Amino acid sequence: MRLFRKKSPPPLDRRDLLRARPLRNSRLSWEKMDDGEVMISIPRRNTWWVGLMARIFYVPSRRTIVLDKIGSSVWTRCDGEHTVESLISLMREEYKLERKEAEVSTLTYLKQLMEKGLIGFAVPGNRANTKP
Amino acid sequence: MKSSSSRWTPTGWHRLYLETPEDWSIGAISGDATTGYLRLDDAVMPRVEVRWEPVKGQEPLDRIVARYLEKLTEKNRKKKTPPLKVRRGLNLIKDEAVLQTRAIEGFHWETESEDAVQAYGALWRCSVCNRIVFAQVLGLDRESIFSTATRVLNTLRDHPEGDTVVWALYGMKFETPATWSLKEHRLLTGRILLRFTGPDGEIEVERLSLAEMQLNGRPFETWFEQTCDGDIDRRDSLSEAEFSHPGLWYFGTAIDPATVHKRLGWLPGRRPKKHGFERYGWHCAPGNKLFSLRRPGERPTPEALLNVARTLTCHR
Repeated sequence: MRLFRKKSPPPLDRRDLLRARPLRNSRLSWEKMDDGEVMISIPRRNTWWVGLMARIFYVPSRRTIVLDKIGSSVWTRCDGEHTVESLISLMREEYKLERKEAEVSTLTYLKQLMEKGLIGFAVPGNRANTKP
Repeated sequence: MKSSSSRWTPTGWHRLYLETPEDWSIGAISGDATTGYLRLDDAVMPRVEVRWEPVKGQEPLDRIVARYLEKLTEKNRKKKTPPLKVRRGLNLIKDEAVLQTRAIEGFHWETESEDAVQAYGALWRCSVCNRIVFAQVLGLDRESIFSTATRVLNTLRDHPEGDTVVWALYGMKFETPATWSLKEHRLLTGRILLRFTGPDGEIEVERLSLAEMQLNGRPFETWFEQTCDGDIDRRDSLSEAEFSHPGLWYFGTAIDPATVHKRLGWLPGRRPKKHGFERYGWHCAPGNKLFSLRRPGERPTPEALLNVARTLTCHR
């Protein structure tokens, strides 16, 4: 069984996580609306069963997600330039949050974006393919 | 130890009080006034650990410290890292007032692994509050933590000196009468709620972050009225000179949630009862926060809530 099981990468420690740079999924298109909120357009998955379902039911070719004001400000900074730590600091300054509040909310939000496949993390050093 | 902040801030929790660099904040809390644990973290690692418990028997302090350090050494040995370096009998606390009523044992330990950690700590038994308090300030081995650690340990108090208890967390600070105790707490991202109970009833202290989002363009008065669950009989405004922000005071009646019956609630004897409530609130624009202090119940303690509201420091 070991032969076929993919070895899971070691989890990121706290320091590496804070130094990681969130990066938007380049396959997604997004735009900033007039009110400053971000609208992300997610294309339909191109798998055989989605294709099959699309023949039977109406499956839109794209779906859109609109992020709120705070979410939009985080999203626009997921450019591979800002580290997680700098995002937390910016959140803290912009919304006058306590460090812990800013840290917990930013990390939870980034995790949600990552689980939906909207962003990935560029991790420092040779720690590619690690789990945040 | 180089902290990114040169300012120091208080932390008060269950009669314990200590001062730490501003960028250290509560990372873990458990227990109550009798037995509990408090940890303060910075962006990198846990920085202060405090444990407290009632005195049981007369076990010498040095033996308790020895037991703790033995456990730590054992943990270290299991990790197959180099042995722990330990120093004991250190005089880390110099404050005469503290030394008068407390037997204190100071210690220092450090690891020698790759991410080496060190700690200065103290264990003491207080003859006034009858509690044993264990506190240690942690740092990386390469950091010079002695001066910060001694300063933190010297500010640590295990019981209040006067008639009031200081509660300080996440930049908020206020005082409650010493006869009041914490009944319930919710420390959520963007919302802190502390509910106290005392001989005169209950009070709630609530802080909401992201005030601009909460208000959503409404004036504070509208928000305050809309979030008052009840009928408002009297209202007044708070003086900015006293509370540092313009605020509001409401007095009215509301349904007591404890008397709401889910089953057969329509029967005359099971209808929900109303009780009086009093509420103070203000919008702290510099801190982008909303504050609300509430006293449910009919008990005649109009001064209790006002006194707490007067002591509340909402922004630095």
